[in-house]
Amino acid sequence: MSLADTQRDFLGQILASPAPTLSEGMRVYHHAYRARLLGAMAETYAQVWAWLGDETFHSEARAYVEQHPSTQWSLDDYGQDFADFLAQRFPDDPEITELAWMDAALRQAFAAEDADTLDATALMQVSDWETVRLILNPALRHRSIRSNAPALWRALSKDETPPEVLYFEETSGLCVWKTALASRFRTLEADEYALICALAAGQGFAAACEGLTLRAADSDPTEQIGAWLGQWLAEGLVTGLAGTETTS
Amino acid sequence: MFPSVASFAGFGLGLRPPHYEAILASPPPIDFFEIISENFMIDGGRPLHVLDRVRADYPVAMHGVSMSLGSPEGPGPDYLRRLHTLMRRVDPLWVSDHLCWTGVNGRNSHDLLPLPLTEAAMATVCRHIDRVQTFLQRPLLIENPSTYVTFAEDTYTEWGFLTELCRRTGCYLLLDLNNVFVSAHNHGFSAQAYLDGLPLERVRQVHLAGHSEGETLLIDTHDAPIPDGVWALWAKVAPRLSHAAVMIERDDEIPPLPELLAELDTARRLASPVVYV
Repeated sequence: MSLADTQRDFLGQILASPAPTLSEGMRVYHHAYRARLLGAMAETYAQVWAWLGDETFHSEARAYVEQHPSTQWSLDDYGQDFADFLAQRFPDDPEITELAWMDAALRQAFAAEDADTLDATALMQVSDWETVRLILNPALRHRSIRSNAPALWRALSKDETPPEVLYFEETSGLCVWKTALASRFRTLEADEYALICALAAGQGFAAACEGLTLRAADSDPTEQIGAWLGQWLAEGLVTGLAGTETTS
Repeated sequence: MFPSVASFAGFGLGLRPPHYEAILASPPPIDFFEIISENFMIDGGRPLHVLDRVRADYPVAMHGVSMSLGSPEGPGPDYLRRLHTLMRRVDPLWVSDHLCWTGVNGRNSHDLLPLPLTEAAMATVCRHIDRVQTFLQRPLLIENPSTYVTFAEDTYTEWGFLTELCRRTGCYLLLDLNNVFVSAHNHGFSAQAYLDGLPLERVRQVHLAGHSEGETLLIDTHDAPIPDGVWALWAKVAPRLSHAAVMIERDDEIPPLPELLAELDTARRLASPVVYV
């Protein structure tokens, strides 16, 4: 048997579920594989664990591990599809998959590229707003949500009693990013989130703004977008400007 | 050819997150830190900032767990690129990984799996060590693993395999005495024969660690204080390893820093020549 065949057979015994009859030595490897992946998931998905409780979380994580062999060298990257897995398992409880997404996104943001915040005076130097592009925080992750998962997550992370779970008719946006080495998150109402999605997809600032139709018909788009831009700079969601000459 | 790996005699600890605050607040009296390379092969974040501050005060050794030198594929380009980036950032004492494989056919066990000790495995491991050493432009240190099974087709002893690896590739050794102790118990060989059979002059680093007991096997869990049997091995071999860097490797159930510093004092004391008065 070639070395590769021996290794395929060996790994096959480790991955087999339920466990075949194995020697004590092979049982050590069979057990260690699951313990290691479950440990990684417990570390990443701490608030989902708190929300689901020990029994349900461990049962779901075990089922996930058996169905999802690891394909990455980094253990930190394991379990990235757990939110989608939970969405299938709990289709009527969107807060569960949204909590899982938050757990994973906050962890990814923590290890993402660092970026300095941009001083608001940088905007004064933009000479051509038609061509300027906003560089978003490199740690930014975002998705739409329809529950109050951020409030649940915040309470769970502080060991506080979470508020009652709420589901909304209209989806909103949830952004996760990092400033000063700390991961952070914020919920965005639909218009602001639509603009962030356009910018994150690579659109220039002017084009993204043109594509935006504010739902609040009586609000002044220029004023509203200006207010968002100021907030994005202050909270480090926008970290740079590109694609334009700036006046000195 | 790349330069040899210089000896560094000293006593150190693993850099682990539960100790970050204590280490930054009051740098402990040790000679070096070892990092798990993969924990820092990331794009940014606090761990890298902590590492930079630690590196400003201490030499750092890089120790990997995912190189998979014994699998047909070996380490992939993304892994090597990130390892190289970290190496340039750290300027480490050396870069080490294990005599093992971690996965095959795109599946990863995240474990240090045992190799059949055959000519085919020798050829595979040598090929990957050569490739990595050329890429990094420096020799690697290879660590002996704890194992729980052996293969009927083995034609080498583990110490014979490591000795031949050093000869063929110019690599050095990271000698884990707990792993020698565990594997000697599990497979019924003599730990002393193992140590006598190794080219100890190629050892640049020593790991001291604890283990736990299975049904009949010992299991390398790195979650317990160093047991008497491992201390006894260290006391016996220490005079022949005075050129090596020695550290306590604790990866789970990590105690407060002073407890590990006390264990390190024991390692120092056992390595000191006995003075009769």
